[in-house]
Amino acid sequence: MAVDGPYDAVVIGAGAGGAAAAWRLCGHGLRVLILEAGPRFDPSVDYHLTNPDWERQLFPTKPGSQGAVSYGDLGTLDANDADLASWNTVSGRVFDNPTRVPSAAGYSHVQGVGGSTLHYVGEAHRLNPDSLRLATDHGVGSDWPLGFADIEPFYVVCETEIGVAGAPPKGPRWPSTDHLQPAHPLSTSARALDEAGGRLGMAWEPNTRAALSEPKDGRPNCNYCGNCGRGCPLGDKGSADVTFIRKAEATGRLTIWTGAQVTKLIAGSDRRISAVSGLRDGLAFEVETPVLVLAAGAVQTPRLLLANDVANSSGQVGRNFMETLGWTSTGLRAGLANTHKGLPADAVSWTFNSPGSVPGVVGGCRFTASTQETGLLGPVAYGSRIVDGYGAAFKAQMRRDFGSAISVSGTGEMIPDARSFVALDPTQVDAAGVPVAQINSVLTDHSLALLRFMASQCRALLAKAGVEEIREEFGSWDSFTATHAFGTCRMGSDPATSVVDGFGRSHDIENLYIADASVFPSTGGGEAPAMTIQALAIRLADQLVA
Amino acid sequence: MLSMSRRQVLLGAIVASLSGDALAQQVLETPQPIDAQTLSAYLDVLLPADDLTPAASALNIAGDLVEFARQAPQFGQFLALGTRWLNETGRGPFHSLSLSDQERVVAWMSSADRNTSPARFFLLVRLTGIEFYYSKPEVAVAFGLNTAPQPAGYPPPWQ
Repeated sequence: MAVDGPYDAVVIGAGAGGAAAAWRLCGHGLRVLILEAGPRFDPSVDYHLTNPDWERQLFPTKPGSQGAVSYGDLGTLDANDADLASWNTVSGRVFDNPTRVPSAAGYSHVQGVGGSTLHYVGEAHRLNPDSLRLATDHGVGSDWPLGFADIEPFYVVCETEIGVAGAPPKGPRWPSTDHLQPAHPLSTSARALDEAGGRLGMAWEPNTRAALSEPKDGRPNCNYCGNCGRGCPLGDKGSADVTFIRKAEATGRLTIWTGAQVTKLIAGSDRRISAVSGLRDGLAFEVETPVLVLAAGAVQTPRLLLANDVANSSGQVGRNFMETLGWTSTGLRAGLANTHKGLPADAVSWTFNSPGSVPGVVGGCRFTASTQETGLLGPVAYGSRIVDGYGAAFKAQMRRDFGSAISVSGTGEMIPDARSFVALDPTQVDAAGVPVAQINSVLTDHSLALLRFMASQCRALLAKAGVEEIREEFGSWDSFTATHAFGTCRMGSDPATSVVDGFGRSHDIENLYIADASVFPSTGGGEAPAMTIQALAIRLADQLVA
Repeated sequence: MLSMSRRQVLLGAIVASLSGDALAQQVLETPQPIDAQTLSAYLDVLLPADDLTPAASALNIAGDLVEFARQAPQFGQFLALGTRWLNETGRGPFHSLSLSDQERVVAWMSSADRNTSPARFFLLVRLTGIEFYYSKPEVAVAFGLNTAPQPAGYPPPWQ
């Protein structure tokens, strides 16, 4: 049962960070209101995986489920880098522009209860402990104002509450693994990459996954349909709606307003926010709060702060934007079958994850078995992307090739650059009259070098796996696709160069906290950020009530 | 990481293929009807019947494309342009040509310069036709697939 006001804390955003923070605050006995601009999704109604035309449907959109975004400078393409172009065997070059353009996904996010965890595949990663000191150790970027040991206990809390499966080797990143569920079985394509990696000196292991291998908290174990990105109708995927939100609501101390867009942060006395106001389903509202936790993501969080001109004495709000540097190569391997079955991103290689492990590049990267994640799950994807031709010969070829695709992806570190930032769009406003967030993101020489390394490694892996011909490649060179976005309200010890402290508390506003990936000073070496966002949010909540 | 949306890529390609094309401009200025018979015959060349699966026409894929075109007017104009062009390639409407003549036309289109309208028509109708055709349960069974991934999923082991 939800509570009516007054509230002890207001959280803006019900995604990974907001949900985790709200759950922890409710657990401490606080009465919490989440203001969520997007809707709730009902998996049994909104997701399409029981429909015969499921493959034509991606994750659903609903009114309000996308934040207002525009794109500024995404960079100019140098034809000398055309070996990094996106293409497939059916359509040829996918993007044929002189500049980098947003892909159809662009800033790929979900606005709603659960946020982008609703469409994530559920990789449950811990940051590489060596990745937190890039400035000190490598002279680039910015250090985190905390150490791995400060976060590690909160990773354990998240993994335990969500139900993470995996079997990572014990070491600095995983001092203990006893709380994890058993690892998921590897798909046929992941096993092929594992074998190929061994011949290239790359170690592969089952990925740590926020998908249940055993029932937990009334949620079933995964049945391996491979479609986590289209929304999990079973609830085995550990998205925030079925984990932290559900548990927080069970305390009776959480209220969620959906369709509630905050437009104003109202200043009180003594460097505090006294209330927030905005529109809820078109009607004005205002809510007082002693504590405000902002968790709208690395694009909408700086937008709200910039639009209200608060918490920005450093001038760093919106700066240091970092996107997802990614590359994927796909081929067909004769004799391989059933690669559409299994868990997306089921295997991972951390061999090149540590800073300095890639020759000539500071940041690291990781590789993932990605056949299911890239959508090669049904015949539509095969015929649209990797099996060319027409007529009877094409149909026969489709039946021969289906299930033999093998994809591998690299995800890599981004280094902050002055040309990459989120600003208020100078001309566009949303329905509430607030300027939309304009994303500017340009690849540096560092990014291009790392991207080329990832492409080279993906191609080598497929060759070692027995793929004779690559059928599709896509990456960050010619298009902007950011499933992860970071850095626009970075944390640090120095108020002159950072927006929040090591607990996510604003240097300028005493009762303002930020609990999303905008606080990340660096991206890590390609790790999925959700678990770190949630660990930091819980740590923030504990500090808030301490 | 996510795969690119096919539909967005399709629509982007349609816009690109219509801009700067004189014949397309005529269609844009004066909307033409889609010749559904020709579209259906054309799709049957792309997706004919075989031992395991029916032809595109048996599943009314042309009707699906026409319905889709109602939601995407530029696509409808593109189909109108393409079917008009197809009907001008022989001694009568495309759907009245012999199968061998139809196949000769499609073979030429499939290997034409990708910057020309016939080649773009070939690519985009192939892509949309495949999207609808291979979404049909009658076709999925030929791949040993469930009608939909849920609720059964694909429990291991996998070989």
